Amino acid sequence: MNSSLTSTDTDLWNAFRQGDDGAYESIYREFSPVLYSYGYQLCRDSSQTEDCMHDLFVYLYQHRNTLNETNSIKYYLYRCLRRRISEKAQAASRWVSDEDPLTAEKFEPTTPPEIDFMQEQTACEVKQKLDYLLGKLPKRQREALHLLYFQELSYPEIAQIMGLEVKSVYNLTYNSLTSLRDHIRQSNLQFFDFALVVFFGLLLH
Amino acid sequence: MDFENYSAIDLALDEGFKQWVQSPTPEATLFWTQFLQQHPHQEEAVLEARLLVEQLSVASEVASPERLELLWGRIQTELQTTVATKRNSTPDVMLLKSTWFMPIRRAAIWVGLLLGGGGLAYYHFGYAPTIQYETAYGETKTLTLPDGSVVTLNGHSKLTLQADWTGQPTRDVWLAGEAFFAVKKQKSNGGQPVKFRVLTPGMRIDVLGTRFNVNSRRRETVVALEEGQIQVWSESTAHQSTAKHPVALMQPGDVLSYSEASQHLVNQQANLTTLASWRDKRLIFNDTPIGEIVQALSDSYGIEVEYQRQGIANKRFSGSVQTDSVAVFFKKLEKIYGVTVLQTANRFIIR
Repeated sequence: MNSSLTSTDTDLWNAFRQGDDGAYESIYREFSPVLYSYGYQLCRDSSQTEDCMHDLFVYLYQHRNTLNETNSIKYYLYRCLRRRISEKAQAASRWVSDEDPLTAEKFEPTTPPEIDFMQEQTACEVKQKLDYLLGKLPKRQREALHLLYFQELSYPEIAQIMGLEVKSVYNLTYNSLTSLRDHIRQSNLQFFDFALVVFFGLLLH
Repeated sequence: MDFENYSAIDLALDEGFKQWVQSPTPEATLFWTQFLQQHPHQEEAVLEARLLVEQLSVASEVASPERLELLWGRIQTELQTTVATKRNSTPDVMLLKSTWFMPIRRAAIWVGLLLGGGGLAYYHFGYAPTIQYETAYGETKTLTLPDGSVVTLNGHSKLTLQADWTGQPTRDVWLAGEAFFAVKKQKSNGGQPVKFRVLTPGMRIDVLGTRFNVNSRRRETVVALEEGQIQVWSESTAHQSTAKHPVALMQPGDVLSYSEASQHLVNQQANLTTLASWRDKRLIFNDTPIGEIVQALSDSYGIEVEYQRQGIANKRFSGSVQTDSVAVFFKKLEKIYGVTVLQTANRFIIR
């Protein structure tokens, strides 16, 4: 049984449910990268993301005979991971406040105090700055923006994953993008300066 | 649609606009170009919306292949253990058809690496047999070490290690070039953690289990720490039995460089994503002198550059360079700085 020959999600998923280990591995290989990125945006903690993915994949394997059908493995996995991460976070009671200041702070670079380095100021990357600003957004706002732009999903798809009405997703993303833009403007981060260089470079190109 | 009254936010949230930025089609580009010609007052909004979509489309933590490989290993181990327990308690449990977690397959992969690893040498170093992995210019290789740690070697790099780590007090590897390490924690029989050490000219890096990038070229070493904690020793202290203290303890996000010539440690901090981006076949630069970019390309990809235009090496460049198509980078230079670039094989002349 060669799972690489099965083309659709339904076939791959059914092969896995019927005990095809190659299908199981294919599912991991194909979806673990995007699943990781999504999980990370939910909890902003790489080892927690990994632990939840670990538990999820072990669970899937052990219960493969009783799993439901799906025609989109991605949404299936997203919903499972989302539930696990939020359960774990609730258990650790770190989900109390959306705007936990620690979440934003832990991205600050640290230097051990006992070492007297010659400080050299280097320009930070826009990506890291934006990541930092995203970390300041409430969890659901961050999640919506991530699904919309990074995962390139549509509003109905996001609604399905987050368990919301499509209209609420519009409102949520509108508010998220507005507050992110405000953060960018306040932070004086030269976000646009750098991006402009790239943009005009592309135009010329 | 009355896009003419849309704000930047409205535009960025519009499904069609988003699709145009993320995967442009000629029709969409034509539409938005015409739109801007008819409504020039919207230029700022379109530009801002475009930037927001572009930046958000790449703004996320991405898992490295090593990380996902280690996680896959953990999942397999867990399943193996559960199966073993189940077998003991309920002997009539259905036998698994699976083959992928059999230890024998792991061994097969390892032997495969030893026999067919390409560029792999086996020779005697002192009394201990060592293994050597080498990459050509532009080639990257991901290796699993005997302890399960995963190393990705960048182009034109060499990693040497002892063939057998059992009973060794430390796990030592010698690096020339650049590599990204995802080191597994390991304990000795006595339960003591076994150190993993990376040795480069002039430097020694001691770790227990962590993820970091090391670039050691032209007698200068740059270490970037992603996760965990590592100690760095310089040559002057590392090989003296009297030395008791490392020269630096690094925390996640730290980037530290040491040049043999200056004997000076510099903590650069926080452009770690940039430093380890070579694993995704692209290099990211932010206001970097072209001379430095060319140096990086020549180190790992064997690109040669001749400058026939005065001062061009000191001009700066921001953006990313696709390492499997560097010609695109030189095309960009042509546009930005009005130079002409001639290419013959791996040699570029800027005039």
